[in-house]
Amino acid sequence: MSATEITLTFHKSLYQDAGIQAAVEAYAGHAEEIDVQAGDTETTVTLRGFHPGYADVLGDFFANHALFETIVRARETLGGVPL
Amino acid sequence: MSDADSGELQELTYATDGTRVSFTVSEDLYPRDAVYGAAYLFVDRCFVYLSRPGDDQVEVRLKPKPDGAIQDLDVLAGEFANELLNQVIRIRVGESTAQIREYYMAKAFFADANQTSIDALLAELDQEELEEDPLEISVPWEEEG
Repeated sequence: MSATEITLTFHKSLYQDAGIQAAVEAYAGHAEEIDVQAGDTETTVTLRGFHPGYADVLGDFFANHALFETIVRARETLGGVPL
Repeated sequence: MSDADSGELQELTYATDGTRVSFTVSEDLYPRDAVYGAAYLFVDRCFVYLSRPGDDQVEVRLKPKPDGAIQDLDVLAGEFANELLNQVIRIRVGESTAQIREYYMAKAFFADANQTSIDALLAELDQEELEEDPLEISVPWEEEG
């Protein structure tokens, strides 16, 4: 049975808010609703209304994208070249 | 690797459930930028997820992509651990050579003695030309005669 929603938690010391927001924008077309709740130490993202065929991989792809965007931004902060 | 207290090289210990592999590293030994550097190189080969099980600890969770080149979890964990070590060395070398790199950059921009002497020679030539033609009006050679 496929999941009807996916909940992901991202620790704020490892994932930047801007990186998560970039992932939300990138995956907005793959889910009807992407809810972001910011806590003190963690950000919780819930994806709902996605194609059942994506249930096994959507969360993984979303988390990967959030990490990628976070790393790019962290490197920009250190003086790296923006992509 | 997770035994940061000993300071000795430990064999990578990881947990797996058959679909993903995870291990915890200490930020005292593996700075976050090193984890980022390794993760950056692996996000196109597998799913990478980071969490923080405790203070100064980062749990790395790797899961092969459906069409990924690496499906063997042992290989995935081993290659990530190697890259993690590589990134740590890069950071340490960068830190240890930062001062000399800054020195060379400063010298190149602000204290190049050779460039100064060339500028002095050019200024001297310009001065000589100005003495010959104070108004810097060049007369075509056909009209000089």
